[in-house]
Amino acid sequence: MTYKLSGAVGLRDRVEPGSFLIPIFTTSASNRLFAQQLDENDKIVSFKIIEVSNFPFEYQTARALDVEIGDIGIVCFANENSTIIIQDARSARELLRSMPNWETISPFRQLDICYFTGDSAKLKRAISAAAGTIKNPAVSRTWKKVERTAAKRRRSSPELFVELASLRGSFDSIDGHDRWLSAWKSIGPTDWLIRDGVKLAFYSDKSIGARARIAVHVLEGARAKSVSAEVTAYVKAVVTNWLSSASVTEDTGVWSRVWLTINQQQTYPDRELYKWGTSFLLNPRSRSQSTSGRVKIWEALWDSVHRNTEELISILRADLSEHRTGSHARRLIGLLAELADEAPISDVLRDWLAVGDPGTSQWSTAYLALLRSGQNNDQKFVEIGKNWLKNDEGKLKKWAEIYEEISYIRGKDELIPIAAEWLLRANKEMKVWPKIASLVYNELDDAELRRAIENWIDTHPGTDESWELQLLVNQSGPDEDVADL
Amino acid sequence: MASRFRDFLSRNSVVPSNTLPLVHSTPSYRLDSILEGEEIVPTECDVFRTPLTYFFVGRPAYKVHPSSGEAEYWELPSCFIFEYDIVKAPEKIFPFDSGALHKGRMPNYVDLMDRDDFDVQGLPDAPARIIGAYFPDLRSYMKGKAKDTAHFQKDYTLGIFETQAKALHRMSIEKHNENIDDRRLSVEISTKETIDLKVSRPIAVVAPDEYFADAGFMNKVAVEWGALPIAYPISSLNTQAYYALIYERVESLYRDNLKLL
Repeated sequence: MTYKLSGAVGLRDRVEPGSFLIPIFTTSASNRLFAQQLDENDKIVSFKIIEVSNFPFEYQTARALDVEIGDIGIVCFANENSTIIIQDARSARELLRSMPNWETISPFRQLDICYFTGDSAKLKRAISAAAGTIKNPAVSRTWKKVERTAAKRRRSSPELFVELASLRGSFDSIDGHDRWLSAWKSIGPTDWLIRDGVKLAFYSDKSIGARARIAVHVLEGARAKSVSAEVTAYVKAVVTNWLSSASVTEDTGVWSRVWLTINQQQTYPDRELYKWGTSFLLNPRSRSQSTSGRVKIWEALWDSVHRNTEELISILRADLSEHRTGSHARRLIGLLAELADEAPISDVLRDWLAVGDPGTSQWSTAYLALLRSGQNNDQKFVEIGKNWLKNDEGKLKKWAEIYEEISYIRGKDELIPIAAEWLLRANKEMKVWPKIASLVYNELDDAELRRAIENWIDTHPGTDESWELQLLVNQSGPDEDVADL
Repeated sequence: MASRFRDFLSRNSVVPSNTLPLVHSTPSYRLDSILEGEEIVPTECDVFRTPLTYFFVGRPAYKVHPSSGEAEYWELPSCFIFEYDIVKAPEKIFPFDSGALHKGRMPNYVDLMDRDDFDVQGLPDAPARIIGAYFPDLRSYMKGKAKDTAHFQKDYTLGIFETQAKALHRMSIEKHNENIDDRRLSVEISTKETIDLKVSRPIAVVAPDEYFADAGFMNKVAVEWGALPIAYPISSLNTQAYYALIYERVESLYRDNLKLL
């Protein structure tokens, strides 16, 4: 649809050199007046109805100027003689860069012009000049500080700072990702920076770490106020295509970071997220290059409303079969331990315990979690734990927790001999050693063990644990009053 | 009035945040009349059918017009920023823009609920409790970055009937609903009081640069009221750009000058 320029309106009742006005338009499809909305590239993105009666100044022009959405926008300002100039935004920028009689323009209007033209040197001077017009020194100082900070962080016009402008298009170089991350730190979410970030994150061969970081910035930045709706939609379209492409699931490091970020944002359809997530987990390459991201994705899918329990359990079993030990197994078991009260997970953990190495911390973590879930207190399962306690896993700090749990199920008498034996063979510098000693001290009738405990008290003077143990020793000793008699 | 949302906010586990200034937003074309009368007078509210003045806690957010809908970009937002205790007698306190709810700009799951169940007027520290419940800190509140689901669920165990508390959290983390943007969880306070600017002076006044180019306007704000002028350029001709420019400056004021963030 074509819109025809009809004039402009001003915020104040008269225009002075450097004043910006709002251009107004008519269209054959309506008898209302419209104002254009521009994007960061000066293009018209929409026309909105404007109520001109709210403006104290109205200017009409007979100049024939037709524009449409997508065209370069129209900018209207008063020149050095207060004559109203109507130009397309790019030409207006050129005119304003070299506006004559600059010093006669109000400093606050100078600011507006500098932000528009991106002239940082003039902007700096304009801020100082504007601060000089504030006749309250304390307020003037604060204003200057606030405005300088805003000028530094100005995001919507990258041309504002020459050094930043020079970055545009330079991200193809070998250190392009570093340059991009540096630019991001300086100016934050900006349409052009996000577009360049998309290229680096999703369509370059930079390092996985750098691409993952850029991808996360792009995804988070795409939701910022300073970013246009067009770029937000562009990022979404790119990410949707990228995530659903079968080949990229092999790009495990970046893929998992991207999926986890958008999953947290909750801006993509749940069902699609679930589909992409399971495709990734089923990809043999992603399984072989397991990362913490893989475990987190599995966890998110398990919590999903679209969960396919059978499919996820099958993925889980395959992962545990391929990674019996190591960091991936540790992470997985750590997660499964938290979910042990869910029946399908409990089954997986019990099966894994049968083949896992009881000498590892993840084995004891899994066993303890199953025991605490309350669904695995059968004789056979408890015996597994008792045997574990008797064997050579005394170095693990989980020993005390498993001991206490089984004591609770079976009663403490059954386990006292195991504890006594453990106290003699375990490293006495372990934190749990005095704890176990205090649990069983009164039940023991073993001179060697009593000596060991008293020796421990002597070698750990002044600690809370030795104090507690000493109390037990005193209580169980001969009644001195009676002895004196 | 009892409501489950109020009960939720009353829990001991909800730790009130510190306070932020109150922000009254208005179209720039109303500035001259406000400066002339030196007061902010309650105006008839289409939502509650009574004269009210509205404030948002901290955020220079623009209210949805109950009658006409979204503010247009040419209205050019202006704000008066006051000390938190400026409102002595709040009439209503909502965790979001009540006008947006009235206008049907909230997600369906909030729209379906009774508006008055969200009014927590009378609950001590209600605004600080809302922020403390849903945001990790004041900086996150200003940026609209609510606690993520894991964090929120860790902090509070919600019963199945605490639907308002849950719905607000869901809304606070949703980013795709452009209809509610930054007001989806901006604490709103309304009052029937008239704010006399000669007595209750603003901390800052936000307006386009063009207004502060006027010496009389500037003197009223900076000298007579001792308020900080927060000027923003209008040349971008884009509503979102205006908000970004305003937020940058207001955050800088809170962070660097008032040391609130």
